Amino acid sequence: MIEFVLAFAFIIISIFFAGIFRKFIARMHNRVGPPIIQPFYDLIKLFSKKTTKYKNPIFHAVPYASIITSIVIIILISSAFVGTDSLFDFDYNFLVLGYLFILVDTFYIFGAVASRSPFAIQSSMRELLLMLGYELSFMMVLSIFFAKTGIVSLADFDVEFAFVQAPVASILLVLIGFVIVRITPFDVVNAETELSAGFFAEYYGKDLALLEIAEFIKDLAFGLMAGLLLFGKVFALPAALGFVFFYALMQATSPRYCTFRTAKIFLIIAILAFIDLFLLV
Amino acid sequence: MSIKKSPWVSFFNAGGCNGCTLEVLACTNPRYDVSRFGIEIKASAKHADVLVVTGIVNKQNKSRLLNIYEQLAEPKRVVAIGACALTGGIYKDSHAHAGPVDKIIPVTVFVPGCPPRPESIIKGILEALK
Repeated sequence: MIEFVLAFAFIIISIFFAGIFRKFIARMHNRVGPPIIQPFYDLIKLFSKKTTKYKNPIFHAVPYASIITSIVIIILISSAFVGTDSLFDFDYNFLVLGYLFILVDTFYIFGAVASRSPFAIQSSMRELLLMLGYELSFMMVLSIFFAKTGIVSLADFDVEFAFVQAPVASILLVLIGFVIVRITPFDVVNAETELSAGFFAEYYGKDLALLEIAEFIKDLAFGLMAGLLLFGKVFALPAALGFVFFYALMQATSPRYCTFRTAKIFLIIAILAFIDLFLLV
Repeated sequence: MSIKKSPWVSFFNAGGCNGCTLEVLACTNPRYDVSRFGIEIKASAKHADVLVVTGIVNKQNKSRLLNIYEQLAEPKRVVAIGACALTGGIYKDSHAHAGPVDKIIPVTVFVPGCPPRPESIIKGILEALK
């Protein structure tokens, strides 16, 4: 039961983290920026907006599917902090976690195609192209961490500063985070200036609010997971805040690579991850 | 109440000299920083609460303006910015002029000036939320 309470706390924290991310970016631009609780105001407004029904049922099902998947992700992450008493403590649950991260993006692609927006479809084409590189390397990097430490479930992962044992995998994990959290230079999927709002171009009101929450949860889940793997359980939350700062710095200071260059870089990352995994075997 | 704390703005340049466009973009820079009011410029009109229109509406852009206005979710607010959007300005007698913005879509707030200063644009957007 504790993991559900912890997951609820993480959901609230994830919305605060989104506010902190905006504040960091604003301060780096020498701006005052929105208040930290601004994402709450945004969500309240979006829930209060009138939403009309679109004829495609998949379009309206996608926000619910993606938020449920994100909640399952954060519950799985919470189970790592609860320990072996957790309901979700089973062997190789980190692989399930990897699949769930892929599943959220897959739902976005369904929603984008159902919306028939040219921007959203372009976004999903880019996501499918990048998936070949980053999703595969994400699973391999997760496997490297667990293989190097000899642990089979998230709850048992009590190694601190594992990045010393797996330095290459740690760097690759941070790079993969750029695509998962959608940060420049690798945010070609949600490139605002080119693709309007990417996957979410046709969504508004309550549907958009649900998708935004799903994104916030996914971002925090990635930060917590990376913090857990790299620095250990005790430092996972401060490390997640550190990742928010690092990604905000990159977002504020770096330009965006083109799609094919990003795809090439992630192909190289996949090859490096494969070599790292192969050397273990 | 909720909309006052988080007004999302979509921006449409219907024609003209681009002077007002630059002043609208100046609102986001560190000197004026509209984001401290929760205002965000959104690329998709579907996400926006306020539509900011600048420039004369020429005949080619009239249907596009109507299309974008229809994409806004209810409740909609429109802020017309600059002399051209209000009356046609120096392009008033042009053959391409399709009429001031309020003849095409309902306008909530008018911000006069050629171009108006960023302070007046921010005031106009905040006035539209009342």
